[in-house]
Amino acid sequence: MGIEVKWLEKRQFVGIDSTGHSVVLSSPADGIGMKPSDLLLVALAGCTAYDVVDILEKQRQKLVGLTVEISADQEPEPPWTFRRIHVVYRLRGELDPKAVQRAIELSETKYCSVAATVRCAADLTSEFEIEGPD
Amino acid sequence: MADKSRTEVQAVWQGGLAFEAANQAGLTITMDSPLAEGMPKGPSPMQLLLMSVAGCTAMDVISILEKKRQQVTALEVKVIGQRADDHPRYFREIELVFVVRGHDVDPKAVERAIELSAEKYCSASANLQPKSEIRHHFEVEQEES
Repeated sequence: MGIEVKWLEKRQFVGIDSTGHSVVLSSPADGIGMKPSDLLLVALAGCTAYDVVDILEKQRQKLVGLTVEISADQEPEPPWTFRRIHVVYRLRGELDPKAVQRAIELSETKYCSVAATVRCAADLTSEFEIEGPD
Repeated sequence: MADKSRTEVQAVWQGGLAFEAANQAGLTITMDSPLAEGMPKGPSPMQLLLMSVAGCTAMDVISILEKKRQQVTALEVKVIGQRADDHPRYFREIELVFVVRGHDVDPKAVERAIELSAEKYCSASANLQPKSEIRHHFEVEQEES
């Protein structure tokens, strides 16, 4: 799997994936794209959200909506490693809480490659909430 | 100024296996499964992870080379990740190749900038190790003056 990152100017970069999608990265001061450490958490959110949708669909659960929120604390000194990462899954639909819990566990322990990678350095915790289908 | 030590992001399901992510500044990225029917709507989370590592190191390298008064005119980082065969299929190895172009760019300065990023400053690399082995290579192309 491969990607490229090119410098535009100042602290602004564009990332290009193998199918040609582009993502703008920048320092917060440049403000036109996410900073790389935000992108790390986005990758984690996407990876685990993807698993949860996939697993719940296989279990024929009627998922209507899903939002994954991640908050993370970094070391105050360089390299500002994330030490605590907390994931909140907000699901909507007619869902069995046991199935949801199992899907999250499977993602965190078995399928999510980003979680498997970052949990060596960071303590990863999670919780979930289910809202009705309306 | 925002609390530097805390970061928050969220991802909202868009149907299929596509998600729209946003950070606290409201910047958004759409990601999708590479196996999506038709054209995926965005990069996969694993591709974003590689971009995070490459972007982080590239930002450090540009900053350090500017401080060293190196005249860099272009920088590209090509990244290849080798995934484990079995789930969770994390990146066993990540190889970053830096191509630095400029006027009289000192290869030693480039080497040192990459080392400083890898060992000291890049938070994405720090979070991926020791699970992923990250290797750095570089080439310097001098511009005609």
